[in-house]
Amino acid sequence: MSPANMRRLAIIIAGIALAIVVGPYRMVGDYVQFIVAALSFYFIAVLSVNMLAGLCGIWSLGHTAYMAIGAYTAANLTKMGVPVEVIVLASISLSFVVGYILGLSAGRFSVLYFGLLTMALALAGTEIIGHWTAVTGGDDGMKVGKAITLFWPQPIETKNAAMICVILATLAYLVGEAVTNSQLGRRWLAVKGQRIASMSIGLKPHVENATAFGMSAAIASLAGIGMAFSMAYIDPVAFSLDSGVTLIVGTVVGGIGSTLGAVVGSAFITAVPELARDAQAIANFVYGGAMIAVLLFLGEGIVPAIRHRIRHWKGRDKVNTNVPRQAVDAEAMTKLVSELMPPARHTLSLNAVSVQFSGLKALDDVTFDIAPGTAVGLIGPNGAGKTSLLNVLSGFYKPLASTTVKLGDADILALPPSGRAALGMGRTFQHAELFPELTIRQMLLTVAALGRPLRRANQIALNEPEAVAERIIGGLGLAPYADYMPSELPFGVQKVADIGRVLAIGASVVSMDEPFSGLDEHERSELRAILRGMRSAGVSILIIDHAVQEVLSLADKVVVLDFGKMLATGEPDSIRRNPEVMKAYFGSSHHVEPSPEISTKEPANG
Amino acid sequence: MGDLPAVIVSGIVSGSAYALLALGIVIIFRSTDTVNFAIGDIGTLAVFMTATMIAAGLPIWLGLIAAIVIAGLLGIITERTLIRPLGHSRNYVFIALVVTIGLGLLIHAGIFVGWGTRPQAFPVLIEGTVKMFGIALTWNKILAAGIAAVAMIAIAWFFKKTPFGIAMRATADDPVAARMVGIDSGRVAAIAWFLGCGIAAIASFFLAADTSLNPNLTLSPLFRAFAGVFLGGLTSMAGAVIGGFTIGVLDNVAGRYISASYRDTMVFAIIVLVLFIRPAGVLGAGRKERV
Repeated sequence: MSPANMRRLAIIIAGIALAIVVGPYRMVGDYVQFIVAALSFYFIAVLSVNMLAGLCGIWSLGHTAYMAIGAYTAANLTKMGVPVEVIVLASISLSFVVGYILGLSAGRFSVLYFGLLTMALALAGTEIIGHWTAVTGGDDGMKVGKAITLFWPQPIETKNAAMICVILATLAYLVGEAVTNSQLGRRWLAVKGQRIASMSIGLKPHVENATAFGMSAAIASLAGIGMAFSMAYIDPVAFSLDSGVTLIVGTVVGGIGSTLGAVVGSAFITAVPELARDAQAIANFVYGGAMIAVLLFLGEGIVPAIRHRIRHWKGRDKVNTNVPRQAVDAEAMTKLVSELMPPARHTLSLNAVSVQFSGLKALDDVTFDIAPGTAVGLIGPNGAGKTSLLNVLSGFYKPLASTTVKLGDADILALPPSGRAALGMGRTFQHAELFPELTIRQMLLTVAALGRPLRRANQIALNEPEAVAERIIGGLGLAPYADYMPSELPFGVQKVADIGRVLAIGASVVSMDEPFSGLDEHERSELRAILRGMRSAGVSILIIDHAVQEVLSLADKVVVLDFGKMLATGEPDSIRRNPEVMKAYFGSSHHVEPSPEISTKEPANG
Repeated sequence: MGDLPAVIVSGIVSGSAYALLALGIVIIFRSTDTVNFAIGDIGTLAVFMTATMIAAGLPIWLGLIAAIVIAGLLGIITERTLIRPLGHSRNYVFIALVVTIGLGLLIHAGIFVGWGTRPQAFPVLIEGTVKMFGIALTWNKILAAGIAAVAMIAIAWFFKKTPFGIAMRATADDPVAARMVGIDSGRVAAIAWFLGCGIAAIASFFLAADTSLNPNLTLSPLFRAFAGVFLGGLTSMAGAVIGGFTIGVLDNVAGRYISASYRDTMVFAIIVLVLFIRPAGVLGAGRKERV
């Protein structure tokens, strides 16, 4: 059994054991039952907030609204004799839908605005609960009946409802762990860390956010159900903004983005008011003080801080950059590329591309084609519009209406960035833009999983995400770095990993923004080999770079931009001798002589 | 709808507190990227302290000034001890917000310990009422609106005309460039926190004079101030003021003609509606992402 499965099994066994202990056999006293119940439902609630903050960077002060949905669904449905199992299904569905709709809007706002918006939701929620007497009993609250379940002959006594809370908490723990360690969690981390780059690998940030928010809301509603059955009486105070803030306290103190952190955090917010029963002010002192102290001194919360210390202590903190490098094997690179990237089948044609930023025309009527399997170089001085053009292709800038860009028959401009990725368009970034919270291996795994349909459609044999990721790590010499976060790695390695990302998505039309910048000589020759490999594999390439020599020696065709206009286009040789290009680009009309080491072009299909 | 003018006037009057709080939030946000959730609590604490002084014989006018100074100093201390040490990590903006939520809890607890849970009577600046459009407005409220207007004009003058105010605007627009030309960012932050918390104290002072002094004095006004900030955009001072007044009026109109028991919900609905049309607020600068 894998360690992950062992862990899961251990959690299930522990959960069932605890449920039996606090259940109807009266093995412990009332107070213990109550504490276990409170711990359980606070754990669920903190986990839901924690997951959202950790994996998506979305902070919600309004999750008490979803707890309220769970609690009042439970209260109303038990009156009609509906069993707990059905109540759980009903309230998670309802909360998921409400959360999904709210989550769709998360991407429109900054983290801050959205956080404040959820705060407003909590206030409005309390008010609605207070006045909607028919469903909620208003400010006076309402009684919750005993829980009926399909697996127990009699209704469950209120104090024994601790059992239900423990079972729900176990479920929530399993779901939380599963999401965090799965493709889903990695996708959310990718969107959280690099919104733009995540779109270029085919993710739709607003959908990912909405799904995450919906799931988190559904989990929070479980906390409400547990709370309703173990308190037997619910009123609006339990779902006020103060309670929402308490959940944030639990999240911050325990540690953001950690399931174990949610355990610690919920223990904290359960224990403090219990220990300060007679003085509510003291509880608030401790909450406020702990929150500030943790953020000032631990930064990331108790559990991640301890984990960090342990890692530091084990001495596995710094990546070893003194790895002996293998000689670049051009043939091996070609093989790597052809195993992962399908040949391009369609011409990418740009027609009259124009972009306007208020008064300034960044691009004016730029027209050229990239025939399947050819490399086009785009050069021009700073401010010529090169990066703007790339952003039009990837869908981050909207060009003027006269512009058309087509890949074969497909109208690229009509598609969102994610749709372009699905057609096989990939890109790399000037500053690599790797996902800051994924290791290189996790990133490649995530992207490889997203690239599956594309590879399948192109009949590429190597398709299992694990196999694809391994192949890229081996092929690009990333093995010593694979289990590190991007921030721990030298810039050159990050740029190579960025190229690994387009390999993993299985793109057949690749745009590269200054791939040579920031690379050392070894990495440059590696990149040259990769680019040649792409060409011989039939991949179309658009390459933008200031390393003009490199571009001239690699490209089949070169387009020169100056102040947004096309200055010249043609084969590298003719560009080299074009006096107008010399003047615009270099300020004089001297010829650019190819430097000896890279002038010898590899034989075609090398 | 005959009482509409009256409803609007009293909306503007109560909107002046929201506008002051909103202005304070924006001034602090522009200088240090921090949404100060504790701004209302800092103001409230300052007013509690001055109430004790007034009870001991301090003239009420001096009390108002004392409240402003105390809140301003509390603001400077907060920025120095809690906000600046956070540095500029990746999640800085939200972490700073959470720190101020923590501070709010602390202050709240402190007020409970120091002054108990009962609301306290607070002296009124001027007694009496005046009739306007058929409704009775207390002189106190009108004076509050007047002082709020004066404070706003003073702030506008400070930022428009004085060299230091202009330096502060420059810092808000481009902190790095401002530091390069020799503007002391620490002093900018200190002054912003002083001003922001000081004008929050003005709002708290008049809210207390209007009802009574209690620890939850600014809870509901702060929510409306945030709604105003949303409307105007987090980066625009004029927007915050206009937003605060607008929320005051809309809140009153909706409370009068639609439903008095769903006021928070309606304020929330207004925010959501506006944000969906203009995610950065009506006057706020758009969010730009670099590729």
